[in-house]
Amino acid sequence: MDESTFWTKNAGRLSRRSLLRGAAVGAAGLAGAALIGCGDDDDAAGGGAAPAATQAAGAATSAAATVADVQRGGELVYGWSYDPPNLDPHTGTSGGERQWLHMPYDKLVNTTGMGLKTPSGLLEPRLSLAESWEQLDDKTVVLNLRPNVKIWKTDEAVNADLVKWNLDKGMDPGATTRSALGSLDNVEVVDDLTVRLNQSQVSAVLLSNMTDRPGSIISRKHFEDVGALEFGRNPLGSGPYQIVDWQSEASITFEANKDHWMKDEEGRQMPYLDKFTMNIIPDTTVRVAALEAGESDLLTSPSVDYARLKEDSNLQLSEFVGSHTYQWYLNMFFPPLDNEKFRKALSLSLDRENYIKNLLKGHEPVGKGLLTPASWAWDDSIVGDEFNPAEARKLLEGSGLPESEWVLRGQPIGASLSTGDQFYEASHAQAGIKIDWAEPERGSYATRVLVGLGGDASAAAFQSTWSMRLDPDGNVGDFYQETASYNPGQHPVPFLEPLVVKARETLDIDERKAIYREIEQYSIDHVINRVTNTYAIAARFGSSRVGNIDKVFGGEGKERFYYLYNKEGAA
Amino acid sequence: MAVETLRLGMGGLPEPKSLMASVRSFVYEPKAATALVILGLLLLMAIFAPLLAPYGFAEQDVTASRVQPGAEHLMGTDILGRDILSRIIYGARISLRIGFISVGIAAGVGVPTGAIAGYYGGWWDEILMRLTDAMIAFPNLIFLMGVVAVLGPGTTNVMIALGLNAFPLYARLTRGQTLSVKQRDYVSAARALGGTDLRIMARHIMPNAVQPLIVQGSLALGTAVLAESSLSFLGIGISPPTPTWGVIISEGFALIRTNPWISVAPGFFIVAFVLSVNLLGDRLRDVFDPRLRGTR
Repeated sequence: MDESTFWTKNAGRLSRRSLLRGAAVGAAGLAGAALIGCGDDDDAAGGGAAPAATQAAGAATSAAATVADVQRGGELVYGWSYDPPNLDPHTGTSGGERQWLHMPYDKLVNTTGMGLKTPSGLLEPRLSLAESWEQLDDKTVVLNLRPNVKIWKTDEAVNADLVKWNLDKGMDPGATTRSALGSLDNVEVVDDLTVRLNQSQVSAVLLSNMTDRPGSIISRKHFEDVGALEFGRNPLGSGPYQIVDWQSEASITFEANKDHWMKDEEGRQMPYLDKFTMNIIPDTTVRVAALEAGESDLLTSPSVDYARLKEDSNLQLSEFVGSHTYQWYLNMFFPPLDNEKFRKALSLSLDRENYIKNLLKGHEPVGKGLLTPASWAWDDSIVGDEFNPAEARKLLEGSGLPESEWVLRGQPIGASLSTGDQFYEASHAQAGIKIDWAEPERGSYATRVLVGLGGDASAAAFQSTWSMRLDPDGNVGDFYQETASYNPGQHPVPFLEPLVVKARETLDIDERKAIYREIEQYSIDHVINRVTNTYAIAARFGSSRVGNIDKVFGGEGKERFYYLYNKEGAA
Repeated sequence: MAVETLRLGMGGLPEPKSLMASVRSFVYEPKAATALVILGLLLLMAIFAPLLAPYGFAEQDVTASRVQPGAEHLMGTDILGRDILSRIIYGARISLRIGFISVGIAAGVGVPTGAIAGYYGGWWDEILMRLTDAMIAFPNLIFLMGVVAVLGPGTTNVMIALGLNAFPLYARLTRGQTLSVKQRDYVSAARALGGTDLRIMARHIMPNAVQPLIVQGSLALGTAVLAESSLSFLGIGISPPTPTWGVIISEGFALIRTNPWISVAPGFFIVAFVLSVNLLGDRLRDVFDPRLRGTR
């Protein structure tokens, strides 16, 4: 897709009214719902630089299979890398759960199957549990629910009462969805199929947030029957696929909800498959082998095999440019990160080009801020830091820090030092910065770095990913507010925080975009809370059996499996 | 008298050779000589790693990622542009150290255990041997993973895990030897002269029981290096960037289809080391065991 064409065509063309009516460009303020590691398991390790076969979101949408080609029935198998820990949308914290939430749950508001960057294209009533919505005033939204929807294989109606119960649960102080619903004051049941969302403040992001965790509608009866602890591994909703078998660390089998209301563009009922199986295969090499041996149909792309698989005429490829970032998370309270010159030197000594060339697919965009090229607020004119170790060293020498203190206390978040960790270490060493690695430990990003998630601040930084949200607020909001979960040290951000709030409360798309540009540029210039390395390209390889692979990514870069079909049908 | 008894006890086997004769016999056997040369070269490589390695083991050249073996990088480079040969040379230090020290730990725990069990018998024997039986019955990899999980990864802990895993074999072997040797007249004589148990075990039993332990030790060296490689490959052994041979294989595994040299080269060195210590072990057994002498 021609980025400049998109922006010249779309920027500033949407009126406030159209925005409110159809789009409510929102954000996944998904603050709490947001996640590290972010669930995209595209491996870091290099590959070719050939153009993508099919790219979504920030890039072009290739020709999809025509609706007439769609076959019904059959099964597809996905070779996935890890067990989603918790499929309770209100308490889960892993980014790797977000795509799976689209299976058992209907979303109050949903995005199109393909990621479209235009704000008006983000929200799609045809795919939403709320078949329409209206903005009564700046602070009041009414959702008109789809009739005759029931929790799978039960008589439990998905009605206004259930929606209110879900949203109330999502606003619970302990819920990870709380901040995403932060503008919501209360939920009012108007009638059986109508709910009114009364906000305490203007929010441009509420509806977009409904496309993710906060808008997932779960079964109240089942939740109360099995209990909160059990529900995360035994979920139930009215969504297109329901879990019928979950073998921990091995596989999850989804059965199609044959009574589901969702229709494709031609009015045909979805989902098309009878069954969808997720095989959990932690080892990349084995996952690739399973795809090539025909044991699975779909694969998260390992960067190391990317070029080779791309040449395989038996495979299909779909890509999403800007699905997430690779970046440092920095606790700015932790010396010497409290020194801006040190932080700038850290950014200038990160060799982004070679990281992309050697460890990724080879054609990822160099990173600047938190917003990726897939975001509607992406602005290519933002100036990022370029690799310049000599300049970095000069900054360090002028920082007032003795050379013995040019040390960053890093935290590997895996069980050992990753290849990426080692690359960062060598890259920063060119400016004289040393990384003092803490003991590797899984989950340590939360326990040792992120104060907002209970971290003890015993380490200053870790390098990981940050996944794309439908609205920019979801990306910047959780970094640039003092109490935000992913502001690593919960350091005050006096210049940025008011801008984040202002953007959230601004309904004009052009104004919002300008604010995000200011936020991004300031955070880059002053190296606030993170150093962005690159923007990732999520890639999914599919066997020749997979139909509609070009529709596998939703607007924020997470998969939507209900569009997929087996070209061999039930045979 | 003691010598005579010993001869009778062996049933008319060939006369023991002199030390020099044993050494000659040992090195003149072609396979053993070859193995000795390989092992010697590997040891020299480990000792003189800083002099021999063309690059630093952690030295990255981002412009030379995954370069095929060639003149500049004899065994190619890995994903971070690190020279594989240099990593293997430095890796020999750690892998061999782990091998030798873990065998030392195994012997250090196993030999006294077996000696006590064999010498004292009774409850000592029952308790210690049931303990070693239980250890032997435990699947090796599961045991190693369990110990590393408890102690944490790292060179020292891996050596401890490997040593603990291997000590029952030494204990069994030592017990058997002790049971045999303690019946000898010279042991009875030492006891009659008022020798303490410790002195008798140290001065009279162990020296006469040590030969099979040396054979076992040589064979265990290869096993230890293999086991370390397995643990590191599984990601629970030595952590990167420490370049043990197992770590290098593990780091290259994801690239096995596209850049196989990263894993194949250290694999070759593991094979060479294990093969050479096994051949040496076999030869030592031949030399030390009078029943096998002259059979080849």
